[in-house]
Amino acid sequence: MSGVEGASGVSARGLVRTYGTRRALDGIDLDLGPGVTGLLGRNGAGKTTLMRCLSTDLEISDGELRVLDRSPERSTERTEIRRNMGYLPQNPSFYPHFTAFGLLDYMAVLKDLGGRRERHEEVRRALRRVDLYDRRHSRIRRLSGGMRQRLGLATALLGDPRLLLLDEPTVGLDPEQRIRFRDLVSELAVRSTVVLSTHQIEDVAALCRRVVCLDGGRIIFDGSPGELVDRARGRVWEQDTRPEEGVTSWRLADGRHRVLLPVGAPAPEPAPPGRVAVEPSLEDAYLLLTGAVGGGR
Amino acid sequence: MTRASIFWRLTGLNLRHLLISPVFLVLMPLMLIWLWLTTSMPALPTLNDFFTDSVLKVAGVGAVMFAVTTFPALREVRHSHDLALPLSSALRLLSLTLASVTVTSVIMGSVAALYPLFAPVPPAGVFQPIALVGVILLSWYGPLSAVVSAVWTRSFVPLVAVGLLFPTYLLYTALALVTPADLVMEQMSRFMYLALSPLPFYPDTFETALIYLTHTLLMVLCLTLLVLAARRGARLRRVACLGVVGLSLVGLVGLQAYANDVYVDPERSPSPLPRDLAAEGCVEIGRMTYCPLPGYEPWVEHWSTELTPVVARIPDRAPLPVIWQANPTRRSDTLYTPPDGTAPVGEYWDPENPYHGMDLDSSVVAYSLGLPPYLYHLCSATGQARVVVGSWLVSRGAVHEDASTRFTAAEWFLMDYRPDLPDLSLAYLLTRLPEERVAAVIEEHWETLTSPEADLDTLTELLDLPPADELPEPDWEQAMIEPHELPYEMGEDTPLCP
Repeated sequence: MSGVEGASGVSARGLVRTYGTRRALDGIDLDLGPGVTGLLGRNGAGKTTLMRCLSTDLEISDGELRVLDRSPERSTERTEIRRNMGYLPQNPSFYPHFTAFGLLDYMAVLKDLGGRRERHEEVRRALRRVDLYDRRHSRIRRLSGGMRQRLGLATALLGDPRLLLLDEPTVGLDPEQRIRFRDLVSELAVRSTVVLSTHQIEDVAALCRRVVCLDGGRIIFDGSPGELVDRARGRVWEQDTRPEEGVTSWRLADGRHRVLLPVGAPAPEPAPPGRVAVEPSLEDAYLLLTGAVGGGR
Repeated sequence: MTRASIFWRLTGLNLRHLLISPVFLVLMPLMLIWLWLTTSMPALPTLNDFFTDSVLKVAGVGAVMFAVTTFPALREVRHSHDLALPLSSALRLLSLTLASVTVTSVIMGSVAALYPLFAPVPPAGVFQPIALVGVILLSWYGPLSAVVSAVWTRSFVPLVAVGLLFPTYLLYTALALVTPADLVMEQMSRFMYLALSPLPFYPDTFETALIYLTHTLLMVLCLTLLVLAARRGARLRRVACLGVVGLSLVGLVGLQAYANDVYVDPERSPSPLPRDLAAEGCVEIGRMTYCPLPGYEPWVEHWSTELTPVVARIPDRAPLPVIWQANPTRRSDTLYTPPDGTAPVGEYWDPENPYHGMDLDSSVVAYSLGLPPYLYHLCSATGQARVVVGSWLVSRGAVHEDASTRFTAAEWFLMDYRPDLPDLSLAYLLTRLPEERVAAVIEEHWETLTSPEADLDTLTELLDLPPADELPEPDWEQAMIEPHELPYEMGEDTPLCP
């Protein structure tokens, strides 16, 4: 193995990625180390572009990027990065005629995971970790969407990578599998850098020590989930009636309404009937941060 | 070093995947069985037969490897592009190509090796090892075309199109024999053959084998560069690759033009016979001299066996030609004008095939009778005694054991000199007369009978037979020529034989 084995993390300075005249990433500064970092943002915020840049699948347009202490711009270093990184892209396109084992074996060869015996042992281990060992001889086209997602996860887990980039990894997983997934990722994050790009806030809440929120290609928050929640403290409450327009709110199962008061907006006076301040969740905080408008009129 | 290590491991994996691919496991054995069943093995095979057979097998093996390689090639171009894999798609395709051409080469090499192994006698001719390299390279067209079509179309359409060709061909062959579509199929077959074997010669001399090898190398280069040129977002490389492809295509066309110019004999004028025949590898047996091409020496015995009974009936004072085997670089060796004083013999010989013997006998007899070279100069000798004498001499060939096959041989010779009913009737009668009676007349009156002025009745008188136009017609059941075809084939404007 190369010197990358001991290296960990990502360092980005002024990262820019443009598509034509549009700046999908606009001056990202980021340092990532061991542990799980959640990447949040609305659709089109730049999450997937950032993940693809970190995975070296996409070249950056400007700025400086080092992944696992190597520069993706140099082809030999890029190879080293890719060998030591696990990457699960959004909607991965796997060859449907491969068996589950065949796909992982192919990926293991590309990661240079030793001789045949050693490699096959690693493939079997990865399949067991995602609970697909019994389906190892099934062709990919015969696997369900959730199984394919787990298979994608297994490809990313091969060789215990120092950097794990997971773009929407829990889409299609049932609750049991999601718990298993969280357990796996937590275990890996002890010594590896894990970046989790997702819309599943509960996964972020359960796994991440750090949250990075993107909007319009820029970082709008970088801190711990607790810090993000703190920002929302005092701005979330439940009340009996639907609030006025321009306020994020949604109807709860018991018929009451959960209301998020935007930063800087004054609380309505007089207080609506039954208004009670509640402890904000990470989702509340994220919605407040991104200014998303829910069911409020 | 890492990338090289990954590359070789991936190539090994690709190799295994190709060999256990269902497409390979089903199609390749079927194709090999079909190729085996359709192999035509002459009694006396030559290295030219070996080459022709190999080109046909290349088409079969290449087509299967095209199908087998298309699937993993599409895997690389359609399904693995967003996974940020350690090897670039170009290197992964190169690895797949290497694995596929290795499988193809081993299969093609093994299939080709079976031909001399199962040949009844060692194939005649001189072996050019680089020609075999060319044949192996030719088989690479299959996997390389698969990769090129996958890269450029990113779809199974080319595979479907190629897959439909075979049943379409069979369907047309079955249904379109008497329609204009037959012509279309014929042209398609011709195009396919030209695509695989575009040069106008067999690669059986060092120069021609070298040209052949260069040709296949240029084709392989073109296909490889087309793969590299398909990469998106690398405009400079794309332009450079396509530029080199263009240059290579110009080179290919130039090479074909050169080969056509130099190796297809444009001249019909005969060249002089070399003075030192021994230096040419010629051997004398009895009254005949045989000049085989290098590697064809064992065939002299067959030629001699065929000619001995014919030559025995040609008087000693009559001239005899040198048997000269045609130059092997010409495919259309019948167009090749042999040197003066020779009778040509081709690169095919089957002791059991009477027509091969009849052609050789006819060439020798025509020369002795003072007729123009057999097959090369058509002329009319209707009513001349010498062509009927010639027909009788040809009917003495070794392979003709009964009167009916002797008459076939006589007709075979006559056909080139516009025979009419009396010529045919007399020729038929001669094959029924006692051999010694006819031989004695020919021996004694050779000069008279071989004169262009001697007519049929000159011969009938010498043999104490009725005039030729009073002779009974031949047994048409045994004849190749139909009565309504007489005078046979050639028109009124055919020149008289000198």
